[in-house]
Amino acid sequence: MLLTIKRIFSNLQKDRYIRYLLILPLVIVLVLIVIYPFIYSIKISFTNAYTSNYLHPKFVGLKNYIWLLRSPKFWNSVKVSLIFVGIAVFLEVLVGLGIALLVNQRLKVKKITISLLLTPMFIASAIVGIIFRLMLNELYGVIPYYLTRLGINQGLLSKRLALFTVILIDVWQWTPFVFLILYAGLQTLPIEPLEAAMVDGASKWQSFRFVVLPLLSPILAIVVVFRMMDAFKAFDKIYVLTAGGPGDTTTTINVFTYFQAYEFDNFGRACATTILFLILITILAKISMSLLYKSKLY
Amino acid sequence: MRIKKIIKLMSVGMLVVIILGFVGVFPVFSKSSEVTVLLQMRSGPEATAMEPVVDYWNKHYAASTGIRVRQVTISRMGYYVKLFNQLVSGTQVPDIVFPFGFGIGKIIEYLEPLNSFIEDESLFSSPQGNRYDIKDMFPAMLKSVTLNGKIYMLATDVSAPLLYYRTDLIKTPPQTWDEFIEMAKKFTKSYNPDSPTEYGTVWMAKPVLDDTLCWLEIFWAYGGSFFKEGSYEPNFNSPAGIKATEFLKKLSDSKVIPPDVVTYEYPEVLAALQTGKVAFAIEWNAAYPDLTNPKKSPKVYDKIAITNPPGVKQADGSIKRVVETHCLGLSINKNSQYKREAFKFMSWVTFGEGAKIYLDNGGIPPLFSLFTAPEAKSPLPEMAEAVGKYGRAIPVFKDQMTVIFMNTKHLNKVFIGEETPEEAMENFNNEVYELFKERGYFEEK
Repeated sequence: MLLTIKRIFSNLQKDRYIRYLLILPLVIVLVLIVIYPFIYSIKISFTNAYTSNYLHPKFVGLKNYIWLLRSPKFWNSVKVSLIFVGIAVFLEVLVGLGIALLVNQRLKVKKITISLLLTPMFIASAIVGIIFRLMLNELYGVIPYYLTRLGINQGLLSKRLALFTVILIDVWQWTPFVFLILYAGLQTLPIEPLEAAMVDGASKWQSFRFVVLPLLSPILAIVVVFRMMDAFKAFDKIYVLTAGGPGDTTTTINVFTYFQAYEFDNFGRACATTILFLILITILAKISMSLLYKSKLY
Repeated sequence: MRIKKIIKLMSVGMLVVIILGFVGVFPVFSKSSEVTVLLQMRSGPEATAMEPVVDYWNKHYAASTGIRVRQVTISRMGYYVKLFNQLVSGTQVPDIVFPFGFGIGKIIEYLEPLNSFIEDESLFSSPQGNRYDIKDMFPAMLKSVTLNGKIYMLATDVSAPLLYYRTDLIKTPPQTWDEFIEMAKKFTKSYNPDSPTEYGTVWMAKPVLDDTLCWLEIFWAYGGSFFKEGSYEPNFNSPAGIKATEFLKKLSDSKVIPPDVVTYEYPEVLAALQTGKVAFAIEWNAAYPDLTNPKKSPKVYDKIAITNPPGVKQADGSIKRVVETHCLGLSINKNSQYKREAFKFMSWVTFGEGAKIYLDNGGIPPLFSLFTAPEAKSPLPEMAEAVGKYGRAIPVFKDQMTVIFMNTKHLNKVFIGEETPEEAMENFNNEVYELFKERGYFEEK
């Protein structure tokens, strides 16, 4: 049996056409669902496409891009997205790291704690939006009920607090993901450097700052980039919870793109927004990766 | 060698299957004298009500007419996005689709006009051959799906925001929009500590569609119109537009509504009424079965009544009311292969025996004959007056939905004090003007 498998593989390696044939299905899928739509959306971004003229849109050159770069609403959505992603990812990493360090200690009910901690991550974002929509309702929601009892009469979805509330919901949902990755990272750290630090008389903080954190930084970098990309994509729960409101306070770039495409029926502008969004994400991912690697944590 | 042979054979086999699938060879093998029409519904009460209708048709009429109907139901979440994408893609199926009346302008290019079918006696008649009467449908419903004299949809359900009030608290519901706020104060604890309810009322102020549709009842009652006479020039910054928006500002400032109404739509208003936290509210007619159900609304089920929304007092003392009325219904995909067959079924559902079955299963077909029948139960008689007498539909034009969404964003800003009513209407009017200019509305004229 083993010999047969070996023979098949050696035959495959000899015949390079077979190799290409075997990766062909993957290439076809990639071209159909990633590359073609991407090129198509670039094309649409240079047209005035909307539902009625979608099959025969007019070429408008850079008009959509110029409109976006001049639009205060677009820049507001960039600002909202940056605030959302910046604060959410920062809090998620902070809390996630804290929990990971805590769980990494000798904990008696570790398995149950981990299972419970991971629950929010498995709930679909739209459902999270619906759950919090009910829990935050001023008339019958459980959160305002207890806040009122504590003497806090602030609407959590008011103009002033809506974005902060949406951020906290994202933190609630995605901190488990950060925890999971960092906890796995902590489990794989070598014990020797920590023991050496202890022998040298390092305090717990010093051991964490100068040994654990530098060793963990490659994993931290990956978590930050993953969460950043994912937080930039957040749409469902924001749309379900606030529909981008009150006013434009929770209109992130994704919500803005959705408005352009399906509410204001302007596919050209929507596609141009996604292209600008892609450029922004790529730049930010690049910067954060290089910052984390150059931070000399190790 | 054997492996290479197997891979080659598999590749060729897959290629053949793909090609056969693309050229549509498969249906040829299952060809029969019966035609299967594909009806696509949106999940929810309408799809549930439609299922027994489709079953009844297939059981009683599929054999005699040669038309079998297959219903597919797709998720309510993002339904219209999926529908637009489907139609734009040029697909032949589904044959029958289920759009919103006021969303029809946007997809009109992809729908089949129904006039020739309606004129055809063999199609606009029951399977037994009895001709239907188009006048049985509420005029506002037909108007809401007609562009340049062409009808694009047959309505299956009527929808309108009406006034729900607690009969144990209120004897005479507010008749004017000014009275609406005054009465709300009476039932708000911050004004009247003895009030049995927390707040007087609620409002659907989330920046989706509902707030604009409710706002239209005030806008039209003040004499507003979408366009200046005989043109597509937007007319929202008119005194009527400003007065209607001032009402929302007053409602928000007076604090007779919960502070988070900017996140409220249909479910939140329904829950506010169900929990007995408010005395009255404007809510969709679809809420009536839930509000009068003892299991779903144990606190209020026997104390809820439905009536016309308030209006605006005129110089002669009369009250001008307008009820925003729109419909959901069935349209034919322009690329369908079975348009005549699809229409035969559609007309039966909307005008024939099917309409009664649909009504019995929770649908609200907008037919005078059903609403005014002696056995008609609430809310049908109330709606017959509201929709039949005061009903008005949004004018049909290609960008009607876009205009509604533009309005909704500004109304939301008025609620949170980011724009004054004057600014909101001026900005909204300018946005609509720019949109129309860009899309050639003024060139057409």
